[in-house]
Amino acid sequence: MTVESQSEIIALQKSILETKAARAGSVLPGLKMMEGVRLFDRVRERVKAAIRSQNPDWSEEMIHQEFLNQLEKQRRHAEKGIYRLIGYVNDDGMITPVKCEDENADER
Amino acid sequence: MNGEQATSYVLSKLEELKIDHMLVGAFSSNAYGVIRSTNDADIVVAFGESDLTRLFKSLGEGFILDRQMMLEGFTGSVRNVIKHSESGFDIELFRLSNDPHHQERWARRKDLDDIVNVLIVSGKSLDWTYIYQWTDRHGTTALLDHLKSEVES
Repeated sequence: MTVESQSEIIALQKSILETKAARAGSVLPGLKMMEGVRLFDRVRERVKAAIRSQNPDWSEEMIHQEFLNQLEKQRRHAEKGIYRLIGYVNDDGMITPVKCEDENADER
Repeated sequence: MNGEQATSYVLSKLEELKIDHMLVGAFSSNAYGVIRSTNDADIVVAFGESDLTRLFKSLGEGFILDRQMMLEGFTGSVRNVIKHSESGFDIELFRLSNDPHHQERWARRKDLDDIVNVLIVSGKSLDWTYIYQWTDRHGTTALLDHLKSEVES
């Protein structure tokens, strides 16, 4: 890569960042707060549409279940090594701690 | 009910039950930084002994309580998850600890990127005296200065 093209890339990066910041800064925080979950809601419908088109004979329930399975796999991958099981909550809100061997078995 | 409605509903129930809470994670970084998609709402809650089950019971059908209590390795925070089956959205409830600003919290680049985005968008309007008071206390001032230099370069 030439020095010239490198400086062009840096200038482009800076310009993209400035545009992104200006766009984000022009919207009130209260209005942006829920945007992350709104994006998720839109993505969910697209993923389900993809599952539907690949499996035209599936019911809506099967499609939704497949979506949930994929999401759960993705969550487990993202959380791997971050969390460990320490107990279970019962109906009264009481906590039953787990034994050490159980902790390892359920580690995410 | 979609994820947005489910989140609003849980927050309204926390208000109704008078359980102190604070939205953190992507919801707060989206408010003050650059928007990114998220598949869960992170909420820090000041739970009393039976508040988790009180909250869960008040939500009614469509919400599932994951009975597993998980300990997050970075911060030592204890987490419970309430799942909303129709949307696939998770509500993650972190129990309030004495010190939520553990230094280890900042081990993940994803969290640092959120900070960078907040600095880019809202850096000029932040209360820096207050922020430095906390970073000094937690030994993260050098890290914050490094992130500020990333934004300024």
